[in-house]
Amino acid sequence: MFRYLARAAAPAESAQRILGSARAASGSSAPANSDGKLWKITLRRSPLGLHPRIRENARVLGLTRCGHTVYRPVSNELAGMIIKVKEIVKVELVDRAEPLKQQAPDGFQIIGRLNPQIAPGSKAAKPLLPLRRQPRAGSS
Amino acid sequence: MFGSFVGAFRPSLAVLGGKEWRIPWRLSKTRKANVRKRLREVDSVIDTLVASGVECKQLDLIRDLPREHEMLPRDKYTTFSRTASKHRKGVHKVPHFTKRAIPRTTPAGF
Repeated sequence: MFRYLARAAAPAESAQRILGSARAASGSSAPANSDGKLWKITLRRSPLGLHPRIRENARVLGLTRCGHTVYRPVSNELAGMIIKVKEIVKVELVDRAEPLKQQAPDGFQIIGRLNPQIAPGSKAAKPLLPLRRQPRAGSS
Repeated sequence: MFGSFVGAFRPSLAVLGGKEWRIPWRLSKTRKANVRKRLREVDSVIDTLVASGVECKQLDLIRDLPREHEMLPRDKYTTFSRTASKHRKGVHKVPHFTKRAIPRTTPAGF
């Protein structure tokens, strides 16, 4: 009855290997006619309340929150993981990954800092406030 | 006397203040439509995997399962139960049935 609820997929360490190298892994597993195609996998339902193995499969696929979309190479191992989570997932076959949304550029550019001790990427490195009104030409 | 026979609650004897939610024995038309929609979504996931051309033992096991329009209504809206009478119960009584794999066929003989 529950024959397709089979044993767990690959553990986390080898899953990183599978996800990292799309075609280089020996013995796996890209089918012949896939030609570098990708699966666009979207997590439609939360895995809360489901069996821990199903939740592990969702995590290993890279699906961390509801609505999360990831692009994964077509391979036999990932097919098994998707089958485990097929009730909560939407899958499309695509040619390339869509680029992530780029953040809109700020309307200002930081040209310098008054305090040289603030590191550029730190929390204290807030954007510069607009400079005070410059002294009029001619006055000291 | 206490505890009404109308409303969402079924009176339980616990202190005569106990209330239990009424659970209908069958699904409504809306719920059935949503069950069919979810089955079709799973069908489309399986179709995508098959179209990708992967070779997978689990895929071989599920690709021959009946599709939503090939399933019997009793398999869509009810499921096998070891403990219920007639060994059948509404699928809505399975916890998390909306995101769980429910068998599409009944065990032989039931």
